[in-house]
Amino acid sequence: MDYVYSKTESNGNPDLWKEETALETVEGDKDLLKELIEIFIDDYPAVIKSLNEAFDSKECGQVEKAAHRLKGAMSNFGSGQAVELAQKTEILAREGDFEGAQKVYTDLIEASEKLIDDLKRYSNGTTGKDSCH
Amino acid sequence: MERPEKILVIEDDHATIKSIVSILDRHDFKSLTALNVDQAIKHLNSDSQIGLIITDLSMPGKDGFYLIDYVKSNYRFHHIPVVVCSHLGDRDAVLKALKLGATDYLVKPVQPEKMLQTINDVIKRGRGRILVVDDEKIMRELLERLLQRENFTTFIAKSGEEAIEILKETMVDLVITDIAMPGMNGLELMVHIKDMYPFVPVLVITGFSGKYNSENVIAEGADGYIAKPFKNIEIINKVKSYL
Repeated sequence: MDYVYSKTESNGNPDLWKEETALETVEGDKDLLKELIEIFIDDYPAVIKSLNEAFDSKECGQVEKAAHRLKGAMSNFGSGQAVELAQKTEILAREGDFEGAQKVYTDLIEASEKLIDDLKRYSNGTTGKDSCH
Repeated sequence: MERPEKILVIEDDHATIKSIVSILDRHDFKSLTALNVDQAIKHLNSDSQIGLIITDLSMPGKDGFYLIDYVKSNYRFHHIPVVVCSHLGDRDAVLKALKLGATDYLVKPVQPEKMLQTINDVIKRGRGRILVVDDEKIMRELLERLLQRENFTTFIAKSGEEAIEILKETMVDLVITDIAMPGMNGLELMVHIKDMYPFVPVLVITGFSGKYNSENVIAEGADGYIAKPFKNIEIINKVKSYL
């Protein structure tokens, strides 16, 4: 492992998501937030799959829906880069700009992966498990 | 309106539904969940305890608009308030939902405090969308003020024709109409409403010495009447008895 993640610093990366906002939606219940993170992590592959399929279909309507779904899933954790990019993709697709949406796609995937990684670290950190050895 | 026995939550994102249901549970609201509209319709048809619906708008398959339309045009469910849940920036979608008959909306990610406040507001307000039809400005204003003071949401039409246009776009819970109006009169409007929206109650305002009295308007199909001159409290009580 090339990083060390300390339990005391497990507040998440504010560029990716907002712990404060996420906790507000669960009335400060960290265990519930952790559960939401786990649900999101479980659902994530299917959400990304539907986004990929939407791009393969080249249909803006499909891309718009899939980006909206991804945005919805991620926004439980407060808005960060990934939510913004998903929203951008959704709007471009709604406007019929498939190429524009496609250009955002790589950044969106990259930001979503970073978000997932950070949420995983947070989740492990707050439960007291050691994330790295 | 009474506190709903159960709240139906429709949302395709698992984490969001978990978050909403956990908060409801914590505040002693029983809930039922559906991941799509078909499932929600099954719940509605099999569980008569559902007294409020919270729904997402964009979902795979049938969307939230389909659900609102289904609920509001079905005589068994049209009384159930629907609160829509949507992201910031989906303003047009929210407006469309409200026109279809949604009672209120929440912005995602849902803040518990805001959600509970909205649910309590909706319970307090009950079924409160009222269309007032009168060609006399003073009557329209009087009724509007009276109803708004009681927290009803009012829609105002100056004529039967205008009322029909409003009804095409907006679902209401009750119509109050004057009888004698230029163009389409109140009874013609009532016949149209009973034809198109049979479950919407119509109260007719009967005049001092007009051709129609309370008995004939009931015979013509009105659900009730308000005889002029009326006391403000009488109107409010009458309205409440139909909602």
